[in-house]
Amino acid sequence: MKCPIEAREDGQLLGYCDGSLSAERKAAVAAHLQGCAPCQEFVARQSMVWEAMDGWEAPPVSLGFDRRLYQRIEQEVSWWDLLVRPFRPLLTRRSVPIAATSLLVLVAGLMFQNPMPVTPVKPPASAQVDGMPPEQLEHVVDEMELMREFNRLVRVDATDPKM
Amino acid sequence: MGPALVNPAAPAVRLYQASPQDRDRVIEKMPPGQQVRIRKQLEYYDNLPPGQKAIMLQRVQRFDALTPEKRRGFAQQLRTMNELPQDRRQAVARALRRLGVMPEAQRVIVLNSDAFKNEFSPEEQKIISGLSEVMVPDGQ
Repeated sequence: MKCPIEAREDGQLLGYCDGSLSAERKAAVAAHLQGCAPCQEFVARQSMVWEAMDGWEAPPVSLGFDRRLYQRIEQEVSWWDLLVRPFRPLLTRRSVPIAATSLLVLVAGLMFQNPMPVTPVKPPASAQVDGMPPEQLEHVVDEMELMREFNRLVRVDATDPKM
Repeated sequence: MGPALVNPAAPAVRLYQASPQDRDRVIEKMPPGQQVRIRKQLEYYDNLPPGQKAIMLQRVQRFDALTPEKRRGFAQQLRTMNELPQDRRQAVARALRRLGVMPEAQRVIVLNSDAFKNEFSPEEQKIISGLSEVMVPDGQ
C-alpha cells in the first residue's frame, strides 16, 4: 500500500480513525501503519482528538436562555434599520425599479465624467521578505536547521536520515 | 490548497512562504556558504506534504516567539535528546508527539503528573518540557 501521507490521501487515515473504512481497507491501512511512523503519528494525533471530543460535554443551557435571547434580538436594531425605517413607505414595489434605474444612470454619468484611474494589478503576494537584514538571515538559517532537526527527531528515529 | 497562512511575522516563516523569485532576491544577498544552507532548508520544506508544512510553520512561529534564553535552551535540549540512547530517544519523541496534540493547560498537568515523572528521568523531563514549547495542537 502506498503511504497515505506521501500520496496526500489523509482521508484514508481519517477513515481508519473514525471506523468508516471497509474491512479490507482497514486491514490494509493497519498493515501499513505497522511500518510507517509518520502515519502512526497522524493516527495517534487523530485518536487524541477523537478522545478529547468524545470526552467533551456541552455545558447545560441556563433557565430562561431562550427568552433572554429573543428579548435581546428584539431590542437590538441595526443602524441601517434605523436609517431606512422612515423611507420604508416610499420603497414600494413600483418605486424600487424607478429608483434603481435613476441611481444607475447617475452613477454611469459620474463615471463617464470622472473615469477612475487605472492602477496596475499587483501580482499575488507571497510573504513579504524584502528588507531582511543579513544578520537576521543568519539566524533564520540556524532556526530552519534547528526546526528541521526537531522535526526529524520527533517524527521518526530510524528511517529519516540526518541532515 | 497550500498550508494555512499563519501570522507571517517570523522571518523563517516569511521565507518558507515566499515565492521562488522573492526568495532568490533575498538569498542572493547572503554569503555563498549560507546560500547553500538556506536553499537546502527551503528545499526540505517545499518537499513536505501540506499537513507537515503547516505544522512546520506553526512550530517555527512558536520558536520565533520564544525568549532568546528559551531558544538557547531549546537548542541545548535538542542536542541532549540527540545524545540519548535510541530507545530513550524514541520514548521522548513519543511523549513529545502526545504532548503536541494537547492544549497548553493539559500539557502542564501531564508534565507535572507522577506518571510522567516515573516514566522519565529528570534529564528527559527537562528535554520534553523544553522541546514541547514549540509543539502546537492543530488548529491553534
